[in-house]
Amino acid sequence: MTAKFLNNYPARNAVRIISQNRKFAIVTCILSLLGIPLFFGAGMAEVYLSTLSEVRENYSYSFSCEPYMLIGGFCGAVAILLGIFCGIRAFEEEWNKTRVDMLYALPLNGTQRFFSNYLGGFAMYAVPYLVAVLLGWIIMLITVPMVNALHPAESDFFNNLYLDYFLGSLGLFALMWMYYTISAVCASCCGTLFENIYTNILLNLLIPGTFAAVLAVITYNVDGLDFEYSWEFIGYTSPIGGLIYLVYLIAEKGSLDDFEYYYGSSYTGVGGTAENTGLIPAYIRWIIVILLITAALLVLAWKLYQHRKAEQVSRPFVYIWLYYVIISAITVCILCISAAEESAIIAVLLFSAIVYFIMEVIRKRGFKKFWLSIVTYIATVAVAVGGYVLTIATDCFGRTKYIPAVATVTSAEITFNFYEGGRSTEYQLTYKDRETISKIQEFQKNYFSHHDELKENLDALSEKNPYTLDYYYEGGTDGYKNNEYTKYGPPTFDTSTFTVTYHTIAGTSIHRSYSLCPDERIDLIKIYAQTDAYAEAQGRLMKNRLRNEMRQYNDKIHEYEIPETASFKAVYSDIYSDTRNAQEIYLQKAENSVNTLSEWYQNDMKALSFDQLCKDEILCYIQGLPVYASCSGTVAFLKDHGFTEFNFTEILQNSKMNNNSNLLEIRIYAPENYKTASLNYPSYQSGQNENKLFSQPDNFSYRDTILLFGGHDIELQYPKLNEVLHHVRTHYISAEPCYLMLINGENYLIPAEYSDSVEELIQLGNYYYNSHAFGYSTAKWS
Amino acid sequence: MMQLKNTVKQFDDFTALDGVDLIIPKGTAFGLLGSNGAGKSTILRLFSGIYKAESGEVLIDDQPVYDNVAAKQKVFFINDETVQFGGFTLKQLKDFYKQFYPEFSEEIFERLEKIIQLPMNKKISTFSKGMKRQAIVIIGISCCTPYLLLDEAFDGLDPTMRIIVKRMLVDAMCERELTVVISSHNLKEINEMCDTAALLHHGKIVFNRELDSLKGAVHKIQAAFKDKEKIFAKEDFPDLEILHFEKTQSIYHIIAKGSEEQIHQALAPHEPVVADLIPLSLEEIFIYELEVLGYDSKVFE
Repeated sequence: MTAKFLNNYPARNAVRIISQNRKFAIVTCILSLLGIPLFFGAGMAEVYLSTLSEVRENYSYSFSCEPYMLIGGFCGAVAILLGIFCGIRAFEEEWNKTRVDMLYALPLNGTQRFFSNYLGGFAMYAVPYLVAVLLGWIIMLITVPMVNALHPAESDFFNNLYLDYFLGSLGLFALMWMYYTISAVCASCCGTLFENIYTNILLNLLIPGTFAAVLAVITYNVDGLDFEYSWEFIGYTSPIGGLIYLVYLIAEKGSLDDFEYYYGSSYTGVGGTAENTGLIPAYIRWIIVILLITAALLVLAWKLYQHRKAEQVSRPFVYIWLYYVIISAITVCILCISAAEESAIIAVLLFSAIVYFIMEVIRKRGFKKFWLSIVTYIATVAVAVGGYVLTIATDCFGRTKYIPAVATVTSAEITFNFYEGGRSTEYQLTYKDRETISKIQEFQKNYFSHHDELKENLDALSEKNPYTLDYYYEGGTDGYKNNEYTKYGPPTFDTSTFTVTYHTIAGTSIHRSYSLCPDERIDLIKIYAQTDAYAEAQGRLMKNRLRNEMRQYNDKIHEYEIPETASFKAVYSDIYSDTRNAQEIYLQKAENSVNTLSEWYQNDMKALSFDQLCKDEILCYIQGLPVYASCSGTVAFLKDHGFTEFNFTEILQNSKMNNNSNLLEIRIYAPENYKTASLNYPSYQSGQNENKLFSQPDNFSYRDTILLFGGHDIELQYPKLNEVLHHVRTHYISAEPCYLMLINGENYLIPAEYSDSVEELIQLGNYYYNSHAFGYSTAKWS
Repeated sequence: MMQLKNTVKQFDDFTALDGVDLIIPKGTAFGLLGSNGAGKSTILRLFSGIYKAESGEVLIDDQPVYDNVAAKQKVFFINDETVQFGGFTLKQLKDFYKQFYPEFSEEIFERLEKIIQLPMNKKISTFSKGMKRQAIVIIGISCCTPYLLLDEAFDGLDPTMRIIVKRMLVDAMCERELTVVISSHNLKEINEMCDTAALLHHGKIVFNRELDSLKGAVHKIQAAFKDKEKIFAKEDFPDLEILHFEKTQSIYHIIAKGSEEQIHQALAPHEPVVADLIPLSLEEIFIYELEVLGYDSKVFE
């Protein structure tokens, strides 16, 4: 078989290419063989030494392998980058005029010549890499068991390296193939060495660059599309994009492995292994697409090669369309800058014109028919701007408002951030039932109509409801924007990002991302709050966070474990750090107790009604998770373990003293100033947790008030204040306008039924500052 | 047999061959003559499968050449440059071509190499221009293809080596009915080597015939006529295809096509006192044929 193959003329030509480029092949070989083996060898040696110093007392080492890793990484990277030169050298007759007669006259047809060139160059490029990968395997198979033997507790982690290495090396090989094939396309399209090199470099940079720039501009300007969820597309387009995506996939997998090991703390997804969260399927899908695209590129290169003529060598671009693709991509990339910064439009146009004309001069080797360059530049800009306008006007050709039919959806995954109990949590809930999926879709449709209405009535709404408008203005996905419509506003609330991903029966995924205002947030809570998925996520979160807090490192077995007896804190609010705000809850048989508590909490959350969720008093927070008064099982468990309800006034009194002041400052924000903002989440994000005593109030508006109370025993001195403070809530969800109080940097809401009491408190005149007294717009702190 | 049938080859707007018909029989030594840019090298590149004709046919033994491995195996093309072989040693070059041409003869190669005595293991780039040329010629002959195409083959060879190379080619022709197509501006060499030649101008064939018959078919005539008062013009000799006509005093210098007999018959009605006929050299034929087509040195004047 081998003999037969070697007797083929194409095989001989391939061998000829390697033989003719012997020196270049040797350089590639050396760099490749230094790359991966040195990187892994030094890396594993470093891991071995550090593990040794960890497990053996009094063992220390001063030798660092990191420089060798660096050298290995550098060599490997250069060897991979040389791929374009392998392609260029393999297709020498396409740019070297002196070689044309010799190589075209050989008894080979176009297809044989192309594939023998292609294979010759690819062998020169890929074989050293494959040998290096093999050496890497040998190094890993020797060193990983050695490290495992030293540190058995982390064997899972090191064993995962095998899979990571396999996925990484295979993915890199696929990308190298793509990278090399792009160089074959360039070789087929270009007739000079210079154009060959710069086309290769530009294509590799421009493909991901243009996609990223256009995607960024579209996602920035079109509501619903989010770059964070769309960028993965770039991973399918090019070697550089693919490399970023490959690193991302492996890093994600690594973080999930870590998550599994360290129990995680903020992740609420079902996952815990790469397989479960779809990273392996994502990898397989990615590599298949990369291979298919590369195969398509190979066919393209072959057809272009067959179609070109021997006499076209030394023409800069045999296929001029490639040049126009490149120059258009550069122009689009530059123009994208102006989409982010409109004031720079003139400078951007000027810059793009300069670049365009320089490229034209290079291509034409002079100024021949320069008027044509001006015309093509104007046409390119017109098409780019036209395309942009059309994309925005049509909501990305209807993609942003596209919702797949329920029947075609296998699952809907919603993700949203939640600040609760002073902690940030990213919830990721998956629904497969059609009822919930329909509700999510209905929510999306309402969101669209709401925003369309806002766009049409911007001015009217700016008068009526500046705060809500603040979220909607310009329809940006990041929602909150300071703009002219918000001269005065209420205290800052967190914007909440909501993402939905539909997985369809066709295997595709549709991601959409929205920034929600509080009104919409309430609508969203209505959907997920009473689903089992949410309750289960809460239970899982409590379990993971408690385990994470309680775990201790066991020096004997070199592993983390939950001790027999452990404790956690039930806190009133994370913003206070004194003992009156937190209670230590002690658990015997901690592992089992945590499971029991989490199960109770999960069950309580399942049983919680929507109304309870919105208005129920929160007795305490455990690891940032609210324990509502209606969570009977959880509360009973806590009380069994010594929990008693907090006294807010006592906490307040103590907090006042902690501020080294005899004065308590309370800011009261009038409900009309945040009509839609009766949803309150105490939050560090608001920036109001800092002590702003006696500072100029931010966003102070009409009827907003600052009250100052001095002396001890405030609750006794000011009975009205005491009455109001008894009703304050860290958590209250309602569409009904109500007063908001800012006390020591923490937001509290007073339910609407107690608004009269708040007004009476203000009327007492104990205010230090009231904007009403100074007029609406000229209020000054004095 | 090599054949062009109504072949057109264009390079962008420039038509290098404009409907050329040409047959080169097997076993002939064929010379391609022509002005610069006439299309000689283009014909060789078409026959060697490098170029693809825009229209018409390019055939070797009735097979189309372009992209046809079997047909291309029958041809070895030596172009007018040698720089492409610079990276090879002679041995490497031999091994390289040996892989592609199954009839490659080591024996012939060694025999020729012994005659020329080129260094086998030195890079060809270190060779002189003539040595490079010798190297590729012996490779070409050793490939033992039925057709050998040489573009300016003798360029750079010293007179002795020219003779040696010519002998090599003649031997090969005699031994295995090799068809040699030589493109050259050196008419003397074409004259010595070839039995048939074609003259090209502006992508068209001016003539294509055996050299012996060609040489006998064009004559330089020096004539004086009885009627000394009468001034003769071209038109007075309608039976002659005159390429050149000039009068100095009473002597007429005429270059005309035709056999001696035809020329004498054409002159007879004007009672020539003197009529000397001298056969033209190939170089003179080349000059006068192209002069008729407007390609002559007078444009410089």
